[in-house]
Amino acid sequence: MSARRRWGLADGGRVGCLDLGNGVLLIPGEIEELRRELLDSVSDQEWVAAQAGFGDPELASE
Amino acid sequence: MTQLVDDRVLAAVLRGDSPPKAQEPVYTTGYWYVRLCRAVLTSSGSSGVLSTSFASLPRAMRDQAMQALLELPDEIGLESLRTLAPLMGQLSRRHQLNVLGIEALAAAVFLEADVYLSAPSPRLEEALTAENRRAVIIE
Repeated sequence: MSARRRWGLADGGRVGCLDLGNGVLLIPGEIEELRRELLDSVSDQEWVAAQAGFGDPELASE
Repeated sequence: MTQLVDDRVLAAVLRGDSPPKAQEPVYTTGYWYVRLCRAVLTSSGSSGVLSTSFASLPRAMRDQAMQALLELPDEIGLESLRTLAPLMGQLSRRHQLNVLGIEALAAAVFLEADVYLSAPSPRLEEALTAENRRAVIIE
């Protein structure tokens, strides 16, 4: 009940479910939305660093 | 035609954007996937996402949650090194590429795929052309 209240789900809503292998984690909102936020959090500058292999020549785009 | 996508194109697909070819199977490589995971996990922005969603979790659980979020969906194909290694060995004899590049080249050849890159990669592009595979730059 308290989770429902804290998450603003008193009148229903969506929760996401993450399989941790040894348990399941419930989060407010959709997993897809959280995944999108994570992927969007990478800046253009950070993608440039990725293309440079983060300093590892074996991971760099050639 | 199978489409082989690099890390940044893969990120767009995982975010929900349409792949370059809407109806064709999407594959990536192990090293591009590693690079994507590393980009997300070292991103300064991701700490903001983590702080709002997972702040109160123990570190170990937070790490497991991140791994679960970065798990590759079944609809994204990925050929293992078990399959690609012999071909990578052969191709490395005629193309000077690092391990990321040689894996991408081998995957493209094995899958007979077009390769979609988020930035120019001249040496990989040249090798793909030599192996009769097409590279497309999406910027």
